[in-house]
Amino acid sequence: MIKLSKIKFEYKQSSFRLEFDSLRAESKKAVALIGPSGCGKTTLMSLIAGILPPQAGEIAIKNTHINQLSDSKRRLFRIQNIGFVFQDFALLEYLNLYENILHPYRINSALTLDASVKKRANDLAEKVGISKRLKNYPGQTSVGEQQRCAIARALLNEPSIILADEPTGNLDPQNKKAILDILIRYVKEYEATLVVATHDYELLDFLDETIDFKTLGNHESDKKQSTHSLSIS
Amino acid sequence: MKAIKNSLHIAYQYLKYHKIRTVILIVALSIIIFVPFLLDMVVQESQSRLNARAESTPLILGEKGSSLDLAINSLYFIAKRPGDITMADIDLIDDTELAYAIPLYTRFSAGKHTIVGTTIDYVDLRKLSLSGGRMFTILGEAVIGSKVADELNLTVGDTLISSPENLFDLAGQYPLQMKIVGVLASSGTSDDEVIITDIATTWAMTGMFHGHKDLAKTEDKSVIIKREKGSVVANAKLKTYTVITQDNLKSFHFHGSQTTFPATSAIVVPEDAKSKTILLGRYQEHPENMQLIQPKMVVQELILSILRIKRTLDTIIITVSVSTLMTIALVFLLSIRLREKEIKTIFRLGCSRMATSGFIAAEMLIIAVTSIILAGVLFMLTWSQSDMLIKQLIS
Repeated sequence: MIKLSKIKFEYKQSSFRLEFDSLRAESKKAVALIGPSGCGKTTLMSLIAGILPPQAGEIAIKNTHINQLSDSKRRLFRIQNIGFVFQDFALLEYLNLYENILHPYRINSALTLDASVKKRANDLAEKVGISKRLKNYPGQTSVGEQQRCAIARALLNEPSIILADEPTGNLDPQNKKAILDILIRYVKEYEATLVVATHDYELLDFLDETIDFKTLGNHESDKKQSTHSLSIS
Repeated sequence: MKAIKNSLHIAYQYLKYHKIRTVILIVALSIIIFVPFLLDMVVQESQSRLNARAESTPLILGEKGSSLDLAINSLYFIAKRPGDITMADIDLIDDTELAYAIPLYTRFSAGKHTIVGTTIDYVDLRKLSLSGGRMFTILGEAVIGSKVADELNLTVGDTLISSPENLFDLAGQYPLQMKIVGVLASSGTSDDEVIITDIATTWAMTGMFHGHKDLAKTEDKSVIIKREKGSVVANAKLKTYTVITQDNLKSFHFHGSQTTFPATSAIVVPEDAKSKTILLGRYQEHPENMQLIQPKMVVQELILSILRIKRTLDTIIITVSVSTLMTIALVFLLSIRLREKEIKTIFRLGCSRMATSGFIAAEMLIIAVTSIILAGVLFMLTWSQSDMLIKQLIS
């Protein structure tokens, strides 16, 4: 569960400001962040992840107030609880797909890479359909395979929050559906929360809630009602 | 520990992926580690070998000219051979009763190995011992150094033929087949690489000392040009022996006075320090075109020259090393810039930005350790050929 309240954030050398009263995303829910480029979707995800600290307000994930943590503790919290799917996948070109999936376990000693983790990496690769490409480097694989690898990496530490920035932006409709299925199935199975920043309105039908930055707080779809109040200037 | 292991793993993966860059860095670093060490060791070893050999050789007598050539040829049987002296010149030393002289005649070789014509005194002076067989006792016998035995796969009982100096000089050369009667134990000196025989055996190679059928008794008139009172002149059909055996030994004889026979130099062993000083004084202004040198002094000058060259090389090596290290540093700095995106990604995943420094430090460590190992291997391989390097340096 993600809970943000009375958030105020602005970049030092920019006129961009993000300010809202509350935002809540429950467990087992997939939430979409939509809005034009530069509206603050990525900034909001960075706040949730503790990458950027807000100037004011509270950010709580599960029962942890991450804005009260030191930078090192926020990093620790992030690597243990949050899975990232980046728009450009951010795979390392010099690691093969298998090593890319395991990469979070190699960069912070808070995570222990043991046989069970390696088994989980193999299982995830099987699930996302890249088990036969694990020895290949990203440059030797298709965009779809790279995206699947990025998702396997994000899910390896069994995070309670998944932050996905345009996770299907480069994919064909078939791959897009497959990727979303994997993420949503994970959310339900592990009682996690998925936050997806996207421009792709086709995705909204697959997600539980939508936060529209353009309408400043209220987005209504046929099926769902958002409960968020945002103001951006 | 876990963090170090992971950093090393990621660094290894990075280096493995960028193979060409990695190999270039390792080779460059290996060279700047290996070359100064090798140079230092070669110079030190040369210095030590030169000193040891020179110190065990009190004086050397030879033709006037380059004292360095005389010393190096007499000590190592390499470098330019000085002009010949005669046995009479050497006898003069013995006549002084201040010293005894050991002649050395190094004109001939068998393949690349010098044949050293000398006397048994040389073996005693150098304290050479045998690993098999016995010392030469009659003409035509030779003992070989341990490296000669290894390289030519020769042992006691085998034979060895001297090489002609010039293939087209058919009349002037007498290739001689020598019987190997002993193999010297390794001494770690240039004696390991030579064939040692009696000086008369080397004279046989010049033709001054030779053996053939007794012309007075021969019945083959086709070899006789003319018979005069007390002498017989034969033509080229007369067969000269190319091997000295017990059977034909008696037929070997000198042509001319033995005192005129050649030697390359002689090692002079004075009775005492006073005798040495007297002899050096006598030969300082020798009218007979002779010089008596102290190899230790000559070698000291050579060592000083080598050290001067080494100092110049050291300066060049330091300059090249600094330049190479700066280039390597630049490669790593550029690598950090190229990895900005990776640094950003791992920070967003939950890793300290400084952790990337750890990965790069691990890369440097792997490259440094691999370079040191490679430099060590190169050093060992080159060091196994150190004799050749030292020879080249000395000559």
